[in-house]
Amino acid sequence: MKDLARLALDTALSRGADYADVRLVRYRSQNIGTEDRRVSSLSDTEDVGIGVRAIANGAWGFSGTCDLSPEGVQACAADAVAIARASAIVGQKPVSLVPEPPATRAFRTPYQIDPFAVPIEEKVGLLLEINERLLANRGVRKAHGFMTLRKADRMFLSSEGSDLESEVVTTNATYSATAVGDGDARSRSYEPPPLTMGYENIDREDLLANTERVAEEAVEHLRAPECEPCVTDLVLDPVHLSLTIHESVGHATELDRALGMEESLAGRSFAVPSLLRNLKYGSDLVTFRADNTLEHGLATHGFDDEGVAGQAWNIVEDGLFVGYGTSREVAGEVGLERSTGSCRADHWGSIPIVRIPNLSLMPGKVPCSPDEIIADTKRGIYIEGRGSFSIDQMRCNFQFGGDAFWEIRDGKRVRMLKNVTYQSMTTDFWNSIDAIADERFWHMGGVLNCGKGDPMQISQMTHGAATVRVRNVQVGAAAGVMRKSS
Amino acid sequence: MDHAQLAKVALQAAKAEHLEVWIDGHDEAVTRFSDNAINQNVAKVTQTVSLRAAFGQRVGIASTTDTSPEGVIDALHRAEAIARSSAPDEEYMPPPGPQCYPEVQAYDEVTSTLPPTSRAEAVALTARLSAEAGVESSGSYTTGARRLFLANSAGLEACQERSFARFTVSTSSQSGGSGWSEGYSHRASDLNVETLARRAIGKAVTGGAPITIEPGPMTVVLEPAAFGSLMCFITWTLNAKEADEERSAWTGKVGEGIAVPSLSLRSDPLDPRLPGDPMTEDGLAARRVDWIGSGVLRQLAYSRYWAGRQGVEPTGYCENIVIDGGDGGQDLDLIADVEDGILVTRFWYTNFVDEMALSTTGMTRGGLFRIEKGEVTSALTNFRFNDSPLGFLKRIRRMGERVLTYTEYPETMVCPPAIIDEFHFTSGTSF
Repeated sequence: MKDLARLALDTALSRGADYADVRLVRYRSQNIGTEDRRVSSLSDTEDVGIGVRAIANGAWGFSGTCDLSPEGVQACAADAVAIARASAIVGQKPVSLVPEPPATRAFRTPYQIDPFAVPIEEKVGLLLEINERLLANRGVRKAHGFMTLRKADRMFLSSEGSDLESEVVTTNATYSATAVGDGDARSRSYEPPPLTMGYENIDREDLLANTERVAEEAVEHLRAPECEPCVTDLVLDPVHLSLTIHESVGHATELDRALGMEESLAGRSFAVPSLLRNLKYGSDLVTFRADNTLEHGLATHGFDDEGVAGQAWNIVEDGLFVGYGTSREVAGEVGLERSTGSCRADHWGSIPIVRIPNLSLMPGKVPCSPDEIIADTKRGIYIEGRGSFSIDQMRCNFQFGGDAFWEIRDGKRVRMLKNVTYQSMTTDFWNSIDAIADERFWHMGGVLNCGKGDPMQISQMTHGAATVRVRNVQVGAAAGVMRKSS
Repeated sequence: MDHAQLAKVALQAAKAEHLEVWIDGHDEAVTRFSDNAINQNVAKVTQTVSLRAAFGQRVGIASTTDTSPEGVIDALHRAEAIARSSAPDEEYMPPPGPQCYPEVQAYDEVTSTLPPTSRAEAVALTARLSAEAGVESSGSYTTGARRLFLANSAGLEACQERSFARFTVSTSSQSGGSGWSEGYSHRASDLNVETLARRAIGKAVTGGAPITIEPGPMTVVLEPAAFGSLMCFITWTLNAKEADEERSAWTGKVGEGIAVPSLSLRSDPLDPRLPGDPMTEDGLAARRVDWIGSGVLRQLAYSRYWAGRQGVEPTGYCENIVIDGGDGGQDLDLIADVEDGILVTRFWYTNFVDEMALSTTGMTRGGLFRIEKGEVTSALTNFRFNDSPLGFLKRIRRMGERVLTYTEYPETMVCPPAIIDEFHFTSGTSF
């Protein structure tokens, strides 16, 4: 296979590319879905192809193909150069890449059990056993289970001399129970973290141990009262925070967005370069750390899709906005001499773009537990898990729901609520954090379906956090509208 | 080896009781630009063979991009091995036999092979017009084709091909104004890039610097892209099984009035503005289905399994949507009808809040404008809305001329603009 990659690289250069890189990637995935006592989907995918990226006349071109004949690979490389020349028709600033030392090395996700070596019967059997246990609760009328297992074997060659290989394995299993009655249906989910790990991440005992609780909470959710609109304190668990971090910090600090390059689809960012080291993004307790070397992190791939090694750096430090995720093309725009290594593609046929790294809210420095935070909260709402989400294209105004909600009164969780949403502005929200649980309670959540780009690309990254408290947030505007309308 | 021969290799080697072979070829090229310059220019060619094998009710699916006979046989063995190892799926339906498909013309060779230079020239025109008007433009120009071939062990053999062209442009002015427009067709020659660019540029410079007003219930004129995005929350949720299991907002609502009497919504693969796929996902012939007629919910979506269980005909998904109800007026005619209201170009990041109530949220984007005494008077900073089609479809005052619209998701539909009263904006943002 390396001969084919080399042929593509040589073809691009012989056609006049000033720079070229080649990724040859083989993906294998299995996705298993169960609904009640049936297997609703079961698929096994193999996908192999090559992508060639070239700079010619100062502009980018990219082409990808699954035709891995020598002729097909040569045609693909020639196409990439021809497209670059067409790009140059519209006069623009020539593409300039910050340096990256050429490297020769290999990266492999540390894993114990190859997920594709585990029998299908075992995977299907686990999901069906989970559903059976959820349905044992008479209030539960629908159970869903889902498992995704992925492996990506990647080869990267560049005209600067990089010769890299990686094998990344990702695994995850989740489930949900839905209670139905009185003209309503409410769910409760269990979402262990997706990680770059082998099948050992599919923890059978843990998955089964939570079924009874999840089923009971689905039924309680159905009977819970509606959330009343108010301004109140929020206590948010790490799984919930993974999405809040993703939308309001991760996307906002992608440098291509901040420079306007994503304007036509995903949008821009309020966090423009002039605000670097000038914007109080969060309270003094808030540090967001990017780390593409994080063990088992979803964006821990050894190197990104332009050959830049995984790194760790701060995005927000003690509340101050200090950094971006970058590619080699945009890093120089904020004076960086090296890219942070955040340029990834979702497929051999996609061009690498700036993607959110593994990005985590660092734990509190003072010993503090989630229970202590709740005990210290007079009135508020505790939210677990992820639900509805929406944010404006500059990443300012957001509205989030969740998976389960409890009213806090006088330091105690007193009852579940339903239809809780909260709305805030990004920097108002993160500046209102006044408590973060310590590292004993830090948990890695993650996103497997982050959409960005045109054509749309789907990427994955980890967001770790410990439980936090946010003061004085507007809650329930959505439910308030529905009440007025009905 | 052509598609029929490749499928035959799998069908002849199969040990499964049933086998379906899908061969999906997809060529796509996208030229993307920002700040009046091309910043991304890509092309991709993929060919995927997917096989669904079944032993009784045990089903397995495997796919591969290796389209050699050996690659297809390997995928067949994976599909059969999975099926043998899986548990039964009581909802599995054996593949259908030969079908009589509607004739749909949705392929244009020129569009499928449009060279990168043609897309770059369209971008160059947009960049020049934008620079002349003092605005920045961003967007993309997408062209390509998809060819789908299906064969199965029940003797069905079918193919369909579709080309596509989409040009989208977003604009921003130095005073903070913004604009957007988009065109879609299966023929690139249908796209008038200059008209689309001038429309987006015009929006960015209309109404001056955006001003901020308080959110609240307001009369809105929703342009087709905005209205269409909200209608997706209906088309996605018309699942009959979920309704029958009381897990849906539509439970017990068939036959009820859910919208103003002038609104009708149907799937129509033969509508010339939006030629649809002649076959449904499971290989049946696509057909016209009236989902909402004269404001009344007429039909939910039935899979083959659920239709058989409930004793009705399968419908396929709710797609290839045509919405009726307008009286022919264009956006400007609707604006003239509004004394005090808001013009919404499109919505962004719309999402469910509560699926049981169909309540949704999202932001305005691409140009938001104040309407006073029937005229646009100023640009506005953006709003968040929270509302439900179950409420606002009954507050439609008037709808206008239907146009082919490409919504946020993306779903293409033929959709009118609409005036809706008391549409709920609940908060604002900083731009």
